[in-house]
Amino acid sequence: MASNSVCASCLRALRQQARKEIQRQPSLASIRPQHTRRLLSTTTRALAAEEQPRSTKRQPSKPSSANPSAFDLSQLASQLRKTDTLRSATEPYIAYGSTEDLFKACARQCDYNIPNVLKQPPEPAPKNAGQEDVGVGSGWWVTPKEQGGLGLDVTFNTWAQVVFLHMYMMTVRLRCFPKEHAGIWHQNLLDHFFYAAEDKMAVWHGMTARGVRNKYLKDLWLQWRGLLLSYDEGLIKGDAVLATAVWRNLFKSSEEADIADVALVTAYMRRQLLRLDEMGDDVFASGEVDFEGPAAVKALAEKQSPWMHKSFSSEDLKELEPAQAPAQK
Amino acid sequence: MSRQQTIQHYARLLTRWPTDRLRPEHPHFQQLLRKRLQAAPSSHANEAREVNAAYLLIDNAFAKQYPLSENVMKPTSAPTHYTDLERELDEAPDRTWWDGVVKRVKGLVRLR
Repeated sequence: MASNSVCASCLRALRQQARKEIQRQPSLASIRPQHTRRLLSTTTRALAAEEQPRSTKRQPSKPSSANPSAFDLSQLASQLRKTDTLRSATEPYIAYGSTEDLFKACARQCDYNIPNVLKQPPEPAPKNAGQEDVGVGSGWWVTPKEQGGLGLDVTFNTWAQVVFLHMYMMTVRLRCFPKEHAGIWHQNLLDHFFYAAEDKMAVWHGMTARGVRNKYLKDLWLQWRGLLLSYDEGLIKGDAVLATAVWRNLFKSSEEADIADVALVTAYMRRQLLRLDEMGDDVFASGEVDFEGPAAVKALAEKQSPWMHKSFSSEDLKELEPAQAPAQK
Repeated sequence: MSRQQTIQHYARLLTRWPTDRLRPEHPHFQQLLRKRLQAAPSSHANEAREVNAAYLLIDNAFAKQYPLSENVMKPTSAPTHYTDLERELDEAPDRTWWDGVVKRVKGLVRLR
């Protein structure tokens, strides 16, 4: 029976790993040294070995031209996987490994830690106006506006929303997989997020009680489902609706948000979705995916709109008329 | 851009920004626009840039620049996903409580 709280030695081990990970320069570019991949994951060695053959696309089986009577053991694993029964048994392992890479591409966008927690002895985290723990983060989403970033608060919520945004784009792409594969891949991608979220809650936010973490995880799941709906609605109905969804989720419906920032994120999303669209299933399933920075869409988001010079009609200025008297009943 | 012009731009944006029938009680983007119309935001904001960004959004400038292919809009695993969703989003705000119950009960059983 699992214990109700994270034991102190496990927590210490996780924190030490986190400290080492931060001290090591985060060179999470496309060439990643093999050993950092396993640092904070929860996979066992057996699964790591299984990860090697990653393609799930059914390769058309070519009849071996050399010696047909020889029993080809090297292709046995992939051929067994192609049969229906074994595919459903082995697919989750492949999906787990590949979606881990896909998730890491999402998580790389924005990472944070809370320095107070690493001190000896640990101090409570600083809080912002909304009583959320504030940390120190990396990524253009959280760098201050003066340095060209969006200047979002470095909180768990921001991290979750930024990762959700990228996972949403992955989800849209995963829908293009054949029906029997898509469900498993969606589920595994989501699982990786929840493992990471729970890690962060336990390590950086002091939530050692499983019950508290579960409460927040359930809330996160509801946010994810709502986000899927909102962003899909934006995809169907156009940029303004997508921007409103981004404003609601990422910018927390703040009236202090800059419309230009919301537009930048919307343009970024559209561009990344197109890039993922143009990627083949094989490349995508192998996990070799990376997102660009905002520089690619900055010019487009600043482009002069023809509306700026159009004259105003009386229809346009309806809002400025004084309020009508209530209709006589 | 003069204050008068800014106000006129925000008024035009308010008439053209899409309404959200699905989330009547949530904060609406129109509230942000109306706030800008009534009072100038803090000095760091560049009004022309803000208004321009809003115009680009209502024009679908980004969707036109990066149009998604049929592969994504009619995905293999669920070709009618987006069309079904569109219909659902259209019908949902007008459903009564009883309609919702009937739909939930019908959704319990999915015939293959």
